[in-house]
Amino acid sequence: MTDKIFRINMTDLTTGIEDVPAAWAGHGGRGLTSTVVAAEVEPTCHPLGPKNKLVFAPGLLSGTLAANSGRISVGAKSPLTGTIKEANAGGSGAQFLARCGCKALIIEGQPRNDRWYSLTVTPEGVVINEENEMIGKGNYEVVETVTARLPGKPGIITIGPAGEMRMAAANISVKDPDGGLRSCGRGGLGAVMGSKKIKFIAIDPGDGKVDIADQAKFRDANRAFAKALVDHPVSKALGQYGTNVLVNIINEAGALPTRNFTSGQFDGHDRISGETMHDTIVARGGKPKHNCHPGCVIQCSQIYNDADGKKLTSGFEYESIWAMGADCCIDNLDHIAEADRIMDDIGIDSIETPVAFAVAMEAGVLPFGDGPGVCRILREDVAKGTALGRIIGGGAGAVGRAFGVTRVPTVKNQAIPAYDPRAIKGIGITYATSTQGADHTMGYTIATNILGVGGKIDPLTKEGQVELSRNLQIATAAIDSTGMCLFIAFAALDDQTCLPALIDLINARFGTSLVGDDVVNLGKSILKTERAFNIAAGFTSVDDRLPEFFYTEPLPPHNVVFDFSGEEIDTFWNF
Amino acid sequence: MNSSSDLSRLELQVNPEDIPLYTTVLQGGILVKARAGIPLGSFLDALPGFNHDYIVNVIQTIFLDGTAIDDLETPIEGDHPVLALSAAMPGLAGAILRKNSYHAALRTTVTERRDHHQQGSITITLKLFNSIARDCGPALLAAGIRLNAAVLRGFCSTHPTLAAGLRHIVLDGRPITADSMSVWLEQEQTITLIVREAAND
Ligand code: SF4
Repeated sequence: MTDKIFRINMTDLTTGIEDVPAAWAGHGGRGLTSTVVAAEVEPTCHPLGPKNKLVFAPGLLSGTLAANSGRISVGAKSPLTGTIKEANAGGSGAQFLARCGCKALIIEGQPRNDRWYSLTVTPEGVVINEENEMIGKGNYEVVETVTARLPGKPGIITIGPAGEMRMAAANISVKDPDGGLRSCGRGGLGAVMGSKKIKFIAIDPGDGKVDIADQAKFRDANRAFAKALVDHPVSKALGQYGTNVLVNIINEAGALPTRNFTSGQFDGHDRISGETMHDTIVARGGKPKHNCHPGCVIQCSQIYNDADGKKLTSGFEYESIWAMGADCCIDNLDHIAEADRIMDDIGIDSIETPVAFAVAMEAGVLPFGDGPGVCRILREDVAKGTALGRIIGGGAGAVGRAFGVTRVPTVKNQAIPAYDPRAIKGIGITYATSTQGADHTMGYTIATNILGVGGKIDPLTKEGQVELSRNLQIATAAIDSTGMCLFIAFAALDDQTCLPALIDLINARFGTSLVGDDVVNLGKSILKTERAFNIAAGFTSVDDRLPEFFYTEPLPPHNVVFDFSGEEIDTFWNF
Repeated sequence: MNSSSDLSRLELQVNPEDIPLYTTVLQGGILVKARAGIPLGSFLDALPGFNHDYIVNVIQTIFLDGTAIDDLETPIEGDHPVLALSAAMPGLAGAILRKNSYHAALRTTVTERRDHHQQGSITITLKLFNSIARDCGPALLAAGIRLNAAVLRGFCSTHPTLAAGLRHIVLDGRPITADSMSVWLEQEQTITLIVREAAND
């Protein structure tokens, strides 16, 4: 099946199928969403207005049998940051869209009336339907009802009440094969989908299959790739404990932001650690190991049951547990899991929202450590859109502004996640310079030396450290285009056989002959495209800064501050 | 290795399949006496369940007093040193903190304040995380560990179902019930804990 662009105009409620422009052919995932947004969205437009576009793109390898290749990217101008934005998630969305022959789904315009709609995507194209029943409903009910309503087992992409209310922290959820939810979490893209008045997208690929140019080469490359993934020690840690294995480690390093970023260690860390969570899951008959889409060989996800053995949440990740746990001082995993489930149902980012709660706790809205209070406010205020709920649903920056709090951990108005940049300064450079606001996934680790972007400057100098961070972001941008789960990056790309196998997979799929340098150039061009969009939207180097308190408030226990000057950070863009 | 005659000895005899779950208690830290200034690698090598290859190849993340360590020759010193061990960890932070990592340059350097001429013995708090606890924990637990009673109390509160699998509880040679163990733990400061497989009754 030849890949096409599926375009939906919500102003005049029309749909169409287009050939893929040559300039977009080599892109997938984040590379494609950012290329389309940069090409078609006016950078100064209002993110919730008709000129913004919401772009869904499976990765280059999505829909194939390649291991861990089922991440879907969503891009737009972000209502939270005002920058270009990409967020991605697992679930079956990417695989099903790819099997429909859809290289990108571009949603533009805005209905002129107050009606709500859903989309149905098949290999034949897109149908727009008016939707009434699901409006106001949570994501879990949408997934259950739409699955029962439609034939087969459709892929479902949905927004909850937060997206309908266009809250700046609203996310987009993707159904996983078990009926669980995976979230394109960051940057408020759910609000953009809400602004287009689309409640959900159902995807039915029928018998559609993805073309592979060289089947034998693809099989061999996939075997080598999957083996490198499975054999890597980090994959083993992820499979056993999930990403929450990091709580104890980051706490030990004094880099676990605690009590709204006032300390780097949390007394209750062993009550919320990956080790304790693993044992709790096993004791309650949950699944410590689970995949977010078929074909994942790492399985970092899990199913967490309540004390009665009933499923409470899945895909319970370190950053969400840190945010609701250490940052809000809640040391009860059940309260954190319940809050996680409610946030998934409302459709709101489980990093931005707890960080917003921690700022609200500092303002005295509720006490630190009040797990039941957080769940109550989520249910009664955020889900219902009260004034307090809308302030919290507007993210950490909105809470800081509403309550006059000065310690607000954001960059470009997006909450800083789970690693304090005072205690691990390399992450601070990523937070400051990321084109998308503070985001730990922008500089995941890929052995930059293997990718041929190893640093040339002494890495112990600040210049060298900025260069190293830059190279990590370039490499990450390239991997984000493949549709591969980012966890392959930290699991296996320091293995000599893994990256060549990944490039072989892309070549076998498309009949191309890419080499490592092409991958590096792809990463560079994605970063530059995103940066150019932001500059045109009005961002300057002054926006590439951490909040003031990181420079002035020493972080216990090491009592360190972030010490990169603006000029030093600005060298990041010298390439 | 650590059992000390002046401390009460609590022995838990458990079902074999429960032993791995007990290794999670090691995340809270155990107390190990050693010579001041002992190189980190030598200290670990002498512990039950550890060997040189494992220390070099599998223990990929080491913290001494919260600072990531690359060199196994680093001396352990100070009044209350805390040593924590982990396998290779994910993410950019995991890579930055990993032993001898290419990305170690992105760490924050913490000024060291160590007395390099300390004499006598010191008590090291040793924390074992993730698969390191799973791999090395059973041997340590069988040999006996010293720990603060509060660590075991915290462990029991997060693992409430484990009590059902306890076959025998023996305190200083005398059998006791799970309830009396809880009451006793509330009053204790530091104890010796042994966890081993129950013999077939
Ligand atoms: S490693 Fe985790 S996030 Fe990645 S594909 Fe597997 S389950 Fe999903």
